[in-house]
Amino acid sequence: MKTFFRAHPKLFIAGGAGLIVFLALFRFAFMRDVRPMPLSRDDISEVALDFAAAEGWTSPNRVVQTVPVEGDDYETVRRLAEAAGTPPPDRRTLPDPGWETAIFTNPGSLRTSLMQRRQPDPILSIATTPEGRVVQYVEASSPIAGTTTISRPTATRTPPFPELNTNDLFGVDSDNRTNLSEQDQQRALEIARAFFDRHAIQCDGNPTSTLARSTSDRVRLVYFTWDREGPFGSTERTRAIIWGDRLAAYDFDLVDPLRREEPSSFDWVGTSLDLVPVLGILAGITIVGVLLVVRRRQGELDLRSPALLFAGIFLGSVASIIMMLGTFAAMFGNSAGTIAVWLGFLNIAITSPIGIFLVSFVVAGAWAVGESQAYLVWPQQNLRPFSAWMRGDFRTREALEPVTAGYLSAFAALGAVTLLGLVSPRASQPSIASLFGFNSWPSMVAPITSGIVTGITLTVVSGILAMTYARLRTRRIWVLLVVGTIAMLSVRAAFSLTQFFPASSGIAPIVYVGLIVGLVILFVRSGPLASTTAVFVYMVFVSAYPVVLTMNPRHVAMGSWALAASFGFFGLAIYGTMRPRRDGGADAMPSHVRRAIDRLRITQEFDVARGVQAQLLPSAAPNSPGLDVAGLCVPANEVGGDYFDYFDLKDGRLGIAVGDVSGKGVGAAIYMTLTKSYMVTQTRQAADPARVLSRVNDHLRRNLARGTFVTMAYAIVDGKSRQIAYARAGHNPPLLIRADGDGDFLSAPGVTLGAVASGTLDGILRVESVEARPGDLLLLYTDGVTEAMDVRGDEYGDDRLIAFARNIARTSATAADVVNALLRDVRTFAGRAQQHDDITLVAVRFR
Amino acid sequence: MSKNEGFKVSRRDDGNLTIVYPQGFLDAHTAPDFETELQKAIEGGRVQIIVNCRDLDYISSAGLGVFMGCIEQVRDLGGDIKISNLVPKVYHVFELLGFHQLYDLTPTEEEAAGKFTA
Repeated sequence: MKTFFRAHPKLFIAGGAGLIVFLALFRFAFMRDVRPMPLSRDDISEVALDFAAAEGWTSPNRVVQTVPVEGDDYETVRRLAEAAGTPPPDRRTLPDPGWETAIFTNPGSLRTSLMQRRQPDPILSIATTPEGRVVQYVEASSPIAGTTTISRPTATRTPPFPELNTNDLFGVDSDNRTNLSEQDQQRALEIARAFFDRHAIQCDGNPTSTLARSTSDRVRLVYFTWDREGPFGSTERTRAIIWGDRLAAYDFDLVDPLRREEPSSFDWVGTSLDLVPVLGILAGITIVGVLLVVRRRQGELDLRSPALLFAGIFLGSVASIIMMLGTFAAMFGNSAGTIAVWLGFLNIAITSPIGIFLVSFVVAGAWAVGESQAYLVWPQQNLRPFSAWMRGDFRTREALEPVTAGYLSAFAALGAVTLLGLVSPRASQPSIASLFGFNSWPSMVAPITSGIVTGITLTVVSGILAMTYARLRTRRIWVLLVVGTIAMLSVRAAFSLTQFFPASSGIAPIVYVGLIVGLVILFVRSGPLASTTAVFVYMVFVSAYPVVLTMNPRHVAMGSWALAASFGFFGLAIYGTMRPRRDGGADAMPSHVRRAIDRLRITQEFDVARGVQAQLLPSAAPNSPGLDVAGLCVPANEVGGDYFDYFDLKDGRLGIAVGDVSGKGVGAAIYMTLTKSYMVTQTRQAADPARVLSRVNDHLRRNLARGTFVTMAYAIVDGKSRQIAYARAGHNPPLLIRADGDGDFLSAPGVTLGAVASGTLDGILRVESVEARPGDLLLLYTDGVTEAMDVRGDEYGDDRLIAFARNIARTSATAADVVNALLRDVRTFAGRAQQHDDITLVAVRFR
Repeated sequence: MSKNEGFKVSRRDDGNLTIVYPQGFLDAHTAPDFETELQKAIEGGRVQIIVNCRDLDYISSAGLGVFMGCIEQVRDLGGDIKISNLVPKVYHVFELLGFHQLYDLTPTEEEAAGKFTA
C-alpha cells in the first residue's frame, strides 16, 4: 500500500477527496428538492389495489409494473414563481410534488403485446404520489409498451380509451361534440361525485367546463373539468371522463394558465453522441459484410476458419445471454405463479446450459487469441492482473492494484460530477423518479445487476475490446484515445448522467466527454481491469446512493446493501494491496505466457530459416545467350525440401537442376542445403549430367539418414546449338513442348539419389539428348505441381500439366509468364485446399 | 488428403514368408507405424518379406523411404522384400522414382512368393 500510495499519490488524494465530496455533497448537488419518500413500492401497490378494488376491479395478481413517471407540476410552479420575481417554493410544500408512479394491474392472462395489438385487453393505470395519493386513474384497453404479459381483468367491460397518455385522453376533438341534456349531465356529475367520495378526493362545486362527445361506436363520453386557484398563480385542475354509468378516467394536475404547449426540445447533442457508435457499428458491419462477399468470391475465405467460427459463436452467446436476461426480467417484472413464469423457468433451463456452453467456447477462443497475440504485443504490465487471477493469485499486489486504482478513479469522477452539480444552476432535476434510472423501483439487486449488465457488458465488450484491438495494432496513444472515446460513447447511457444534467444545460456533453476521456486514460495507464472496475464502481454508487438518500427505511436498506458490497470489495482490494500473500507474482510468468513466448521464438527462428533458405535459391534468372529462363519455389511450410539451381558452365552452356528431398520440414531443408553444396561442387568438376548425379549420390549415400532420398532432374542446355542433355534421378520427368504445342515428357531412366550405391545407379541412369527449336518450352518442376490436390482430394496430375504446357507454348509467353501462369493455374485448381507440398518450377524458352 | 487419412497395417506369417498388408494412406504421419511392423519382422529373424499393397491407396516420399531403408537392411541380411499388388497410382510413384528397377514389384502375392522359392 505504501508503495502504491507513493506511486500514485495524486490518485489517492483525488479519489479520497472525491469520495468525501460525493458522499457529503451529492444531496445538495442533485437532490436539493427531494423529500423523504414515505411509501415503498409494496405500499403503493397496496394503495393502488385498494383503489382498483373500490372501482370493482379484482386481480389475482398484484402489480405488473411500477414505472417512475416524472411529473412537471413542480416545474410549472417554479416557472410561475420566477416569472413573478419570487424565489421558487420549497417543493415539499406543494400539494403535488411532481412525480408519480404509474401502476398497471395485471390479472395475468398469457398474451403477448403482439397479440394485444390485434385484440386489446383492458388494463388499468393508477398513478400516485409517493404519499399514496392517487393523482391519475385510467381504464384503458391498449398494450403497455415494454411489457410482455398483459391483463384480462375479471370485470367484464371493455374500457373506451386506446392509450394511457392523459394529454391525448383529455384533449377533446371538437368535431365529435354531441348535445347533452341537463338530465344526462346531472347523472354524469353524480357518478363523478360518487367516485370522489369513494376515494376522499377533494373536488367541490360545479365543473368549470362540461363537454360531451361520442366515440366511434356511439358510446357517449362526458368530460368534466374543475379549475381552482393553485399556488403562485397556477391552476389546480381536476378532470374526469364519465363513460356510460361509470368514471373511466381521472386526473389531477397543476397547470400554468399562461403557458402554451411547446414541443419538447430535442436533445441534439445527446442524440448525436449516441449516434456516433451506432454509425460506427453499422459502418463496421457493412465493411465486414462487403469483405466477406469479396473474399468469398476470390476464394480466399474458408468458412470453417476459427475466426469466423468464433465470431458466430460469440454472436450466438450474446443473443443467448440477452435472451436469458430478458427471461429474468420477465420473471421478476411480472407477478409470480402464472404460466408465463413457469415458461420462463423452462426457457432458462434450456437456454442457460446452451449459453454457458457457448460462452465457454468464446473464452476458449479468447484464450487462444490472447496466447498467440495479446500477451506478446501488449505491455506485460497491463495483463499481469489477469495472469495473476488466472493462476489463482488473487491476493497479489499486481492483481489488486488496478482494482484499487479503478475504485479511486471512480471516486474522483463521482466527486468531480458532484462539484459540477453544485456550481451548475441547472444541474438539479427535481425528480427522484429519474434519479433511480430504472424502470422499476429500487430493489436490492437492481443497482448491482444494472451495474453489471450495463457496465460490464457494454464497457468491456464494446469499449475495452475496441481499445484492445487498437492496442494490438498501434502504440500511438492518440489513436487509442480516438478509438476508445468513440467506443465508450456507446456506454454514455451507463453513466446515468441524463438525469443530473439536462441536455439543454450544455454541461452534459462536457461531462460525457470528460468521463470518457478519463476512462480511456485510465485504460492506457492502468489497463483493462482498472477501467472495468471504475465503470462498475461508478455505476453502483451513482445508482445506489440516491436510493439511500430518499430516506425511506426500506430503500435505505436496499441501497446500503449495494454500497456496502462495493465498499467491501474496495476494503478487500486495499487489504490485499497492503498485505499481499505473495509478492513474486510480477516475476512468476504463467505457463501459458511462457508457452506463447516459446512459440513466438520458434516462429521467429523459422522465419530466419526461411530467409536463409530463400537465400540459397537463385534470386534472378541467369543471363544465358539464346535462352529465356525463369524459376520459382513456393514452400508449403516455413522451410522446405525443394531445390532448384542454375550453373554457368563452359562454352556458355547452362546447367539447370530441380530436386526434391523426401520428407518435409526442417530435416528436408537441411538435406536440401547439403544437396546444393554437392551440386555446386560436382557441376564444376563433371560435364556429363549422369556423372554429376552419380557423384552427388556418392556423397548423399554417406550422409543421408536411412530412408531419406533425393530426386533430381539435371539438364545441361546449350542456348546456341539448342542441345539439351539431361539425366533424371527418380525425379518427375521434365517437359519439352514444341512451339506448335507438340511434345511430351522427357522420361530418361533413372533412380533416386541416396537409394543405391553409385555402381548400381550408374547401371540405370542414362543421359538423353534432345534438340530444341526456337520457341520451344522446357519445363522442370517438382511433384508439388502434379500432386497439388483440390478440396476433394483430386490431383492436378500429368494430364493437366501437359495440357497447360501445350496451350501456353503456342503463345508468345516468356519464361516468367509461364511459371507465373502455371502457379496460378495450380492454385486455382487447388482452390481452398491447403498447399501440402513445396512447389518448384523452372521454365526455359528457346529463342 | 481428406479421402482417407487412416492407415492400418497387418501381418501374416506363412512358413518362411512374412506377408505385410499396409492399408490406406502411407505418409509422414503413418510411416513410423509401417516401419515398426517391418522392423518387428526383421528383428524376429524373418527376412523373406512380401508387402502386399492391394489396399494401399497413397504413398508419400516418407513411405517410400521406409521401403528403401528396410529393403537395404534385409538384403544385407540375405533376404529380400518383394512388393506385390500395387494399385496403378502407387505403382506410378514407384516407377517415377525408379524403384521398379531396384526392387521386385509383382502383380500378385503368389508371384512374389514364387520369386523367393525360385
